[in-house]
Amino acid sequence: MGPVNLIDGRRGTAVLVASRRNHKGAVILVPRAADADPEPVPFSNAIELLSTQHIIDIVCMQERLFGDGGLKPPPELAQG
Amino acid sequence: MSTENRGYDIDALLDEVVTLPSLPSTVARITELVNNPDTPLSEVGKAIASDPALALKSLRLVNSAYYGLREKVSSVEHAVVLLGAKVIRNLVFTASVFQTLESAEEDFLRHCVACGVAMKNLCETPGVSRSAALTGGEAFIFGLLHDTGKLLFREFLPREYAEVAALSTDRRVPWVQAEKEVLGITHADLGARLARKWKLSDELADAIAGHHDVANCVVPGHRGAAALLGAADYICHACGLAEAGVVPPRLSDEAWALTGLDSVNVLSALEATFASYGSIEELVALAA
Repeated sequence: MGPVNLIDGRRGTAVLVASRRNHKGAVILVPRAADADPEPVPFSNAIELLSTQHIIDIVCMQERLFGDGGLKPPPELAQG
Repeated sequence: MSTENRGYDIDALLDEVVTLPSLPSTVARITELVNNPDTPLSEVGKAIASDPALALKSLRLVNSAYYGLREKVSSVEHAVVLLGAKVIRNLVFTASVFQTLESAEEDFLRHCVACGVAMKNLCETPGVSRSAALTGGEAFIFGLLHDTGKLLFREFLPREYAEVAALSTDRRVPWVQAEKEVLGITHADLGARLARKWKLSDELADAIAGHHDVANCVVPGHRGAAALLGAADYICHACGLAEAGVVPPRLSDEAWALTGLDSVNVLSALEATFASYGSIEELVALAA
C-alpha cells in the first residue's frame, strides 16, 4: 500500500494482501537495525505503532480491495 | 496554471453575489412545533401531511433500512407516534435536504449521506468525545449538511469554482486549500452561514465551520464536534465515498486528539460504517 509513519518516529511500510478476516491480511514492515531486513508485523500487532489516520487509511483500503461490503476499489486498482 | 485570488469577503459575497436559500416553510413550521413542548404530536403529523411531496419523501425514509423499523409505516401520523417528535424533526429535515439535493451530482449526494452515516457511527462509538446533545440522529444531520457551501459556490460562482477544481487536481492540494487560494473563503465558511440563517444549533454551525480547521469554531467548546465531523469526512474519503478526483482532506493532530478516537474504538467505528454501506446506497437512491 505504501509508507506509514510510526508513532515512535520510524518509517514503516504497509502491505495489504488479503481481507481483514485473515490475521496476516495486512502487514506492517517495521524497520530494524541497519542492514537487517524489516520485520513483518501483522496489522493487529502493530496497531499501537500507528496513528488513527494511518489505521483508517489501512483498514479502509483493505476493505475496498478485499472486503465484501460493496465499497469500490480505487479506480487505478479496479482493473485487472 | 495561474490563479487570481479574488479575496472575497464573506459578508460582501453574501450581500452581492450569493443568496442563501431559506429553510422551506414546512420544515420551519415543524421545527417550531417540535421545539414547543406543549405541541400535541397530532399537530406535528398534520404539519408534515400539509406538504405532500415532503410527507411522501419522509415516509420513504422512515421505511428505509437506516431507521431499522420492524413494521411498515404507512402514514406520517403513525410515524410521529412511533418515532417521537425529535426523531421526526430530523427525518423531515433530512427529507427536505434530500429534496434540495435532488439536482446535485450523485457522487456529491453519496458523500453527504455517507458522511452523515459515518458521523452517526462515530457519535455512537464508546470513548469518542462528543457533547450530550450530539446524538446519532442529530449527528447524521451534521454530516448531511457539512458540504452545503460547495453547492452554493457551484450555483453562484461556477467559473471560479471550476478554477478551484482545476487547481486542486493539478497541484494535488486539498479542496479547501484551493478554495482559499482562488476565493479567499471556503465552503465551510459559507455552509456555516447557511446553518446560522436556518437557525440550526450553534454546535452544528460551528462544526461545519471547523470541519477542516477546528480553529474556525466560534465557541471553543464546539471544536470536538468539528473534529468528529472532519474525521467522518476523512473516513468517507478513505472509503472512496467522495466525489471523484477530490484530494482527501487533511486533519490536524489537534483535531485527531479532540475526537477521542484511539486504536481500539476507531476499528469499531469503521466496522459500523462498512456495515452501513447498504443503507447509504438506499438513502442515496431515495434522495436522487
